[in-house]
Amino acid sequence: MIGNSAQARRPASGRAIDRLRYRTRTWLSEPTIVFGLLLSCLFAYFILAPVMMMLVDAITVDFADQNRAGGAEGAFTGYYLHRALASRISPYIFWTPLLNTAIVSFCVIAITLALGSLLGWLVSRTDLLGKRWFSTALVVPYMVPSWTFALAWLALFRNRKIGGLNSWVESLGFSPPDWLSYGIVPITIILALHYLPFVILLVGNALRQFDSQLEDSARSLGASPRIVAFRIVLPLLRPSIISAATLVFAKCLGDVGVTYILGVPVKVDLLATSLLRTISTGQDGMSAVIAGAIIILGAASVLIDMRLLKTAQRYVTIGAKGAIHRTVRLGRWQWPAVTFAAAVVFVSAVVPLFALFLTTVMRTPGIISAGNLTLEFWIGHDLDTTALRQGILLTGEFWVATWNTVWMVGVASVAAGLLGLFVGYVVVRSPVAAVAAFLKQVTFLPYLVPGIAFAAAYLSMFATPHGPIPSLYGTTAILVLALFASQMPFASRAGIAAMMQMGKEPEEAAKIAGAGWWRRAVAIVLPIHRGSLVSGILLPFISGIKGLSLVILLAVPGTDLLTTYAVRLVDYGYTQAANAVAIMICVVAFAGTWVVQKIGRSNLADGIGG
Amino acid sequence: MASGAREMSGVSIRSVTKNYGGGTPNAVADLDLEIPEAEFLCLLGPSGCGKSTTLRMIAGLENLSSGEILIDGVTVDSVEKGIFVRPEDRNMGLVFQNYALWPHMTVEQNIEFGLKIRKIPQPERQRRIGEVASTLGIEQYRRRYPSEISGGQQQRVALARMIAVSPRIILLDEPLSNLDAKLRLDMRAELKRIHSELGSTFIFVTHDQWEAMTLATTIAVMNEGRLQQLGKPEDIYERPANRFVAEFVGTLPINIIEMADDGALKAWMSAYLSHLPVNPSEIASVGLRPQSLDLRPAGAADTPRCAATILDIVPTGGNWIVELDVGGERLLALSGDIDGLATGRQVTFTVDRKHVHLFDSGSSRINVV
Repeated sequence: MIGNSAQARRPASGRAIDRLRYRTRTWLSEPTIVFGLLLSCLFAYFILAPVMMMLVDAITVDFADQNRAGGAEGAFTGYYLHRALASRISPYIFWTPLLNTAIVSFCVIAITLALGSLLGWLVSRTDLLGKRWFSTALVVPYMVPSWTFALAWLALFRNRKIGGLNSWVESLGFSPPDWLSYGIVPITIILALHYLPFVILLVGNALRQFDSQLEDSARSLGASPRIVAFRIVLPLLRPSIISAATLVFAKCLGDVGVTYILGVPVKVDLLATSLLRTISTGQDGMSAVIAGAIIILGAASVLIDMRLLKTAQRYVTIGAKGAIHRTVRLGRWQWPAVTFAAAVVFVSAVVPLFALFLTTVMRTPGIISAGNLTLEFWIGHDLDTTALRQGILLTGEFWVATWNTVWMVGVASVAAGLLGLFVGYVVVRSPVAAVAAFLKQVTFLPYLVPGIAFAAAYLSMFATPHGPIPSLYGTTAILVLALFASQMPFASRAGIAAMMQMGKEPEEAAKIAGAGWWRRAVAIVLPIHRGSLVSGILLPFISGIKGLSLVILLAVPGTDLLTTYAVRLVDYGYTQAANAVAIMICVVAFAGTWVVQKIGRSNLADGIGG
Repeated sequence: MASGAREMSGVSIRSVTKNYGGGTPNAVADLDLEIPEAEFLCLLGPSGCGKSTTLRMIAGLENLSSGEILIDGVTVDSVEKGIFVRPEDRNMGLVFQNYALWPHMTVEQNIEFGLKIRKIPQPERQRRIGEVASTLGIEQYRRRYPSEISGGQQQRVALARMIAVSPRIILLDEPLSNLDAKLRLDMRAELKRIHSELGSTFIFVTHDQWEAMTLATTIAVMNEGRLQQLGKPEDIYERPANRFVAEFVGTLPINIIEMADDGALKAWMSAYLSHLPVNPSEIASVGLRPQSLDLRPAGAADTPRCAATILDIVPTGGNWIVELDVGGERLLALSGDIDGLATGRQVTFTVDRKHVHLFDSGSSRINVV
């Protein structure tokens, strides 16, 4: 009856065509590879191609430079490289901005890691009073555009170097020195405050999953708390700390707004603002060289990050079965800790937002008296200004820009969130390693390309018709596509992380139960990942709403977003109106966060404690 | 394809090879296995022997490199004929080692999922859920989420989810290994009962011989992707087909005497074997199970028995493991009684002829009579 004997009928050896048919059928039953290829094409077109086209600009002659570069349009040239790196203007255009970028990023990383790790630990592993409240409050600076902080800084510390309203400090009778008003110091402080939540979120999350037994076993072997912290906890947290540092570095490389507002008055350039200048003066070749340098720096940091993470993966024990999560009692450190956390919230969220808000309800900043207070910048009529003669809430353009922001960023974020989960699925499941690696890298690429450079790339690619795609300049489509593409790093990282956590089994169990691919996706995979899908949509949404550098080149007056509208107001000198719009951006961002959390029935703060 | 012939039902695995590529050895090599209907078959072997791959190939979760698989006479996999039936269309049941319950569904929703897919109407669904839930004693957890019940209950839910759709073939991945001793006994009885009630074909994989011995009606021992032996549990234990099976099966490791070596033990064994109708030059090694060693305190007339010294005696609750030294070689014995035995004592032992396992130079069993 039972037998493994040779009499069992042996199948014929089979033709190659039948073997191929078998392979195809098995592949189609698990369409990962098909999706992988489709997604690869999609992102190659919307991310890789624009960036490549721009980089090619760095080594080919531009139409306008045919005489200087000594070649016909499109010919290979080293002219731009030489001009940017080794000519008389290179210190101004490249080397000094590079040095400034290095100084600022290093300081920002140092500050955010020191403060963020401590705060991440406080909100995830201790009995800090009001832990849940702090978890949310400490993330607020991330929801506020970084350039808003710069506006707030100016409102507080501006001096007579540039015109406009008095600052609060001036109104109080002091004249702040240039180094405090503008340049490296405020840029560093503001970027550090803005990116602090990254570190709190990442380190807090890792600590929350950290098994207390690992600490306990070290303690039982006689290690002091100090040794446990430095020899056990820190090494195991290294992956999250490295990731946080990489993200912060990449962000510092690409931030234009803060340096534009605080660096330009004292001629301090970072690579990003140097790039902005070359783009705005139409030097396509030069801007391509600087953008290339930024991409190389970003890529190098990511490669180092991945190298180190690879080592770290060899000791994956975090989140093991039967993990115990013990809360550390702060005891007599409770009040110092609460004071510290409250101080960070005060400096990073309360002061800037409050200062901005007060600016919009005062005729002269910093003077708190009944006569000085006014709501006219919000809801007034017949103001004594040349244009914008009514309060911002009564201005039609403001509401158009608000609606544009919500729907464009909303569509881009939902698309990015869903595709991010898809990418995660393919990256984790693809039987072809090359497809997985390509998708992982290509979706992360926009992170290394500063928004302004990405926008330039999009212009060079989509300003002219390509194949079935018509010229998109001045349309909402180019904005939505650029927003979507630039949000893929967040979304795909969230998707990959989520899919890594889920084993194959829940899905295989559904297969066995008889569910086809679509059914599995809708009934099993998506619901299990609801939480990560929410953060995969939420994070891009917040960053898209406040983002300026990406859209500033792509938006035209008809397709203004809130950020570009605010900058137009800054340029025209309507400081109060610009600050009012900045506050409205924060309101939209907060509301968006709240709505997405309601829909997803999960809480962003859950990510870092509670 | 399906014919009425009885031997066509069940699962047929024919010349199946699985290679993951990249220069790795075959995970499963040229496997032939006929599993009749209503069998309770265990694929037993160490980790990496290909047993889980085999189970997953039957389920359709893993594709074949060559060969074919038939279920109830219907080809579901054939590389050579280009046939592949998707796992979702195979109508099987599979219980995963970690249960793979869907965390976002309640116990009831987990069980209902497969029924919904089969478009069974709501009243009938409720009836069936009630039935399997009461069979497995999980009614009171119907509205709970998997994270809110214990591991043993989770496994019952996984079983309930699977049997609710009455599959013809039921696959189990290490069904008892995540349970504690008491639950293992309960679940073992439960599985036996379900097997006899459903009359389905059960196939399970395990590396745990206790699980295999107590559950299976037939065991297929696998190693390095190849089938080593197929037989009833007692055959596997009493007549191992080769040295691998002899060494893998048995709670205490079998004593292996290499006949190429020199020494007192080999000398005694050679003398002992001279009584057997086997050419001694064919015998490369001899296996003696600790249980089959008959120990006595050293006496006067000891010629047919082998002399040894006791190195250690370890109680195991009812039995004692006695560690022996024979001219410098170590040997384990299991004894139910240690009267007159103590560490350092001289003893003698012998073995019943039918418990001596002889292996040739290819490690295959040499059958005596």
